[in-house]
Amino acid sequence: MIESSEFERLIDQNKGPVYKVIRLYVDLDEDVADLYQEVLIQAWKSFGSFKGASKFSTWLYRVALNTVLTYRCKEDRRTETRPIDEGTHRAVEAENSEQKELLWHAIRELDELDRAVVTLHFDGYDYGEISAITGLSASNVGVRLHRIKKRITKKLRLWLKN
Amino acid sequence: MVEELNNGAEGFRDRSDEDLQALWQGISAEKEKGTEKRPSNHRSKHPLLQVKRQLGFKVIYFVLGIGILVAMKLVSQNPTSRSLFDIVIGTFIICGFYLYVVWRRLPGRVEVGANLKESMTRAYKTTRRALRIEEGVGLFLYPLGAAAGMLWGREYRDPNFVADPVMDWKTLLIVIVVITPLAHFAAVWMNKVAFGKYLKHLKELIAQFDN
Repeated sequence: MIESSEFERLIDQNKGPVYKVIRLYVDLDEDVADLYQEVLIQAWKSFGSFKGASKFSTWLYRVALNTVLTYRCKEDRRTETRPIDEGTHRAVEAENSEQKELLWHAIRELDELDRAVVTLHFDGYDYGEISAITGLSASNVGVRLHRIKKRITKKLRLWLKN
Repeated sequence: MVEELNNGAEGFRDRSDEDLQALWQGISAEKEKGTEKRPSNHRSKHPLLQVKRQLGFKVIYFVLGIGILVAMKLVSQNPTSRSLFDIVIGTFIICGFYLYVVWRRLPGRVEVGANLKESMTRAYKTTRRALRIEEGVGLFLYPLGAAAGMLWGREYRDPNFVADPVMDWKTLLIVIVVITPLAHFAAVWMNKVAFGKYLKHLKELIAQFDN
């Protein structure tokens, strides 16, 4: 029998990356809360099948990604892939972590699948693992990542020049 | 490296994978923070669960429908309407059983082991096929159901009713012509309301895998 306290402890230790994934896909705090709740429900339902073959954090990351990608928010309030505007740009510039924020915005402007692929890659998953998680072929993952990184770099350069 | 990156636009020229990865890893404090907002309710609103729930309701409707049809058939003495009821009940049982099997097979949760493309495609195809079959079977059933219902209604009002070979069949033809398309469009519309948004979203996601 799985102890719910054990589950809660594991979730509590790993909730940061879950929020990070969620915030890549939704804007409003209300939607973030809803989606986080949904990830917890899905994780709890699947927890019985977690055999410890991978780290709990890896497993939870997959649950979060699968849930977030297939979830629909109320009135479809998923992130709008709007270009970064001057106001945001100025606000971002005011911060020390300018480039991190710009990278964040650049990733959020990608389509939903590309967002998942590139964040998996940045979080250290190799092509084979990304292929297993997403269902894309390993070669497609490589080609896609190359294209995504080119787009991100181009966008970042453009924003910084402006 | 960070200093180099902070040199502005030039910092990103020919940046290696590791640099972007390092930047990504640095995005944490703000984005990994929780929210004070409470979720709207604790019931899962995940589309996979909603589709399973909706299909579950359909199965219940079929069971209720079979019960009502059997009761109507038991009351009826007219051999024509009894035969029509037999066909409609038989079709309801087959279709209801099929939907039950689909309902059992649909995952009630996010499949962690399966890859995204596979689980999305399976959920999309299974649901669409089930709805198409249901709508197709409906097209066959509505004329029979309309005929059985009309004869049953006449018989219910007048137990000694004898069908007029010309007038009643004319009326019946009109009822069938009116009811069949109306019922079909109503079924398609209801399926669109219940499943449309979810299926559209899944289709868009699946298309991203092929781009």
